[in-house]
Amino acid sequence: MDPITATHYIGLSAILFAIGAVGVGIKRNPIVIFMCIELMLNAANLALVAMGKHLGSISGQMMAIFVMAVAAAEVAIGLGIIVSIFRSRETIDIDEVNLLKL
Amino acid sequence: MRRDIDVMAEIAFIYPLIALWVGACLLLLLARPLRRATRPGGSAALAGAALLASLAFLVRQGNEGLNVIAFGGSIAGDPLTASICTILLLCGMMAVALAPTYLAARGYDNPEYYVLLLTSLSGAMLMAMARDLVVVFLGIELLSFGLYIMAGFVREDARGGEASLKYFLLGAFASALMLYGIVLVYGSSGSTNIEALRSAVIKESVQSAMFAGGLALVLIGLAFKAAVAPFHQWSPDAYEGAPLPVTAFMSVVAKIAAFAVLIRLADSLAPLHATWLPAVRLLAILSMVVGNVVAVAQQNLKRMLAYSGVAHAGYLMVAVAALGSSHAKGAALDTQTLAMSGAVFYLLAYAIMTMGAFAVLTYVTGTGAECQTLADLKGLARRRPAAAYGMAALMLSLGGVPPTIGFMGKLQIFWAAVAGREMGLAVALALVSVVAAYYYLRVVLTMCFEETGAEPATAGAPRAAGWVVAISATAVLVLGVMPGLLMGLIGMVR
Repeated sequence: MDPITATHYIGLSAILFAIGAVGVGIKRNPIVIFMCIELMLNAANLALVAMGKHLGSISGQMMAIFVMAVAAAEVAIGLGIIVSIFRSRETIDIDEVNLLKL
Repeated sequence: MRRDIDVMAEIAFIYPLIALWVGACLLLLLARPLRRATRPGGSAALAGAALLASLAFLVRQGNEGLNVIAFGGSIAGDPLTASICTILLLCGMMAVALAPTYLAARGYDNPEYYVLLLTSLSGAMLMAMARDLVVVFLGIELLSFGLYIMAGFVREDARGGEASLKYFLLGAFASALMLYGIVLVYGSSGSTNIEALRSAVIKESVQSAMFAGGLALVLIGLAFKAAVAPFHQWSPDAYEGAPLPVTAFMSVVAKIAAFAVLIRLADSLAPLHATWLPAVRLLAILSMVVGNVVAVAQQNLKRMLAYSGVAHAGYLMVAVAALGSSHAKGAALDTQTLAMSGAVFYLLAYAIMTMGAFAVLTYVTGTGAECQTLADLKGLARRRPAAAYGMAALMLSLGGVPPTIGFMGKLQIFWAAVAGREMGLAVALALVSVVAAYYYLRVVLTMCFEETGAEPATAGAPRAAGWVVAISATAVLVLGVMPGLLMGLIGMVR
C-alpha cells in the first residue's frame, strides 16, 4: 500500500474546500453558511501545513497559525452580527432578512 | 549593534500604522470619559489627531520611506505605497469628519466607531505596503472586520444589520476563496512573496495550472473587495443599508486598498500577462457595462453610487489591463508609468468625488432622516444652494465632464489604454462614459429644476460635513483645471 503523501492531503483539502463552497451556495441559515466558510478556511489550513511539509519550509505552518487567528476573530464578529440581528428580528433566515432588494 | 539600527529603521517604517493603533488604543482607554462628555466630537477629534500623526510620520519619512524593505521583505515602501497611503489617510480624515453629528443624532457617537475606523484604515494601509500575499490577506481581513461591524453600527436600524450580515457572509466567503488562492500559489511556487513570485515568473519556473488557479482565486478575492462586476452583488445592499458616513468610508477605502494590491500584482506579474490579461479585460468590460447600465435605473442615491463605484472599478481595471498589456507588446517603459500614474490619479479622483458626494448627503441629512433618494434631493438648489452647487460639481466630475478631476482621470486612463494598445477597452471606456453622464446629470437636474413642497431647511447642518463638501468640490474643480498640482504625489509613482 502506498504511503500517504502531500498529494493526498491536498486532495482532501480540495474536497473539503469544495464542500464548504457549495454549502455557502445552497444553505439558507447564516450560521450554517458561516460554518461552511470556516470549513473552507480549515481546508486552506490543511493544505498549507501539507505543502509546508512537502516543501520543507516552516512558512506553511506559520501561515496556518495566522489563518487560525483570523478565523477566530471572524467567528467573534460573525456571531456578534447574527446575535444582533436575531435580537431585533427574531429570525436570521437569509430569505426572511430581505429589506434590501438584491 | 548594526542589527539594532536596522530593526529600528524597520519599525520606523510602520510608524504611520503604529500611530493609528495607538490612537485606537487611546480611544478604548478613554472610552468612559469620552462617552460621558456632553458635547459630541471628542472621539472624532482624537481619531483625527491619530490620523494627522500618521500623516506626519508618513511625510517625515519622505524619500527615505521609498526604498525601505522591512520585516523580512513582507512589507516595503515605494512611491506607489506612499501615494496610496497618503490618499487613504486623507479619506480617513474626511470619513471621521462626517461621522459625529450623524451618529450623535442616533445615539451612537461612541469611541468604538472610531476604533473600528482606525483599525480598518490601518488594514488598508497594510495592503498598500504589503509585498507578501499573506500580509495582503491579513490587511484585507483587518480592513473588512472593521467594515462589517461599522455597517451595522446603528443597531436599531434593521437595514444596517442586514447590510452588515450580507457584507460579512459574502466578504468572508471571498476572503476564504482568496486564502485558498494564496495557498495554491504557495504550493506551486514555494513562496508567497511578491518579489520572489516575480523572479520565479521571469525564470519561468512556475507555469503550472495550480499557480494559474491560485492567481485566479486571488484576483476574485480582490475583485470582490473592489466591487468589480460580477463580484459586486454585495455592494448595493451594503451601501444602502450602512449608515451614510460608513458608506462613504467603505466605498472609498476598500476600493483603493484592493486596487493598490491589484496594481502591484499586475506590475510584478506582468511577464505572466498571457495568463491573467484576458480575465482582467473581461472584468473591466463587464464592470463598466454592468455598473453604468444598472446605475441608470436606480432611484436611491446610495445604490446609484454603489453601481457608479462598480463602473469606476471598471475604469480602473482598464488601467490595470493597460499595465499588463504594455509589457505584453514590448511598449516603452513610459507606457507602464502612464498606466500606473493614471490609475493612482484616478483612485485619488474617485476618492475625492465619492467622499464628496456622500458628504453632501450627510450634510443634507443633518440630524434628521437619511437623505438617500433622488426625491429627497428635489429642490435642493433652493433649500441649500451651497450643498447643491457642491453636489453639481461632484456629479459632473463623476460623470467625467471637463473641466473636472474626473475628466482628467478618465483622460489619463484612456491615454494609458491607447498607449498600451488596448484599443477595445479604450473605445468601451469612451462609450460607457456617455451613458454615465446621463444618470449623474439627472441628479443635477433633480436638484435644480424639480420643486417640492418641502420647506427650506432651517435645522442646523453639520459644519464638519459642510467643510468636507466645500473642500472636495473645490478640489474637484481646481485639480481638474490644474492636475499638475498633483504631480508631486502622483508623478513619482514608479
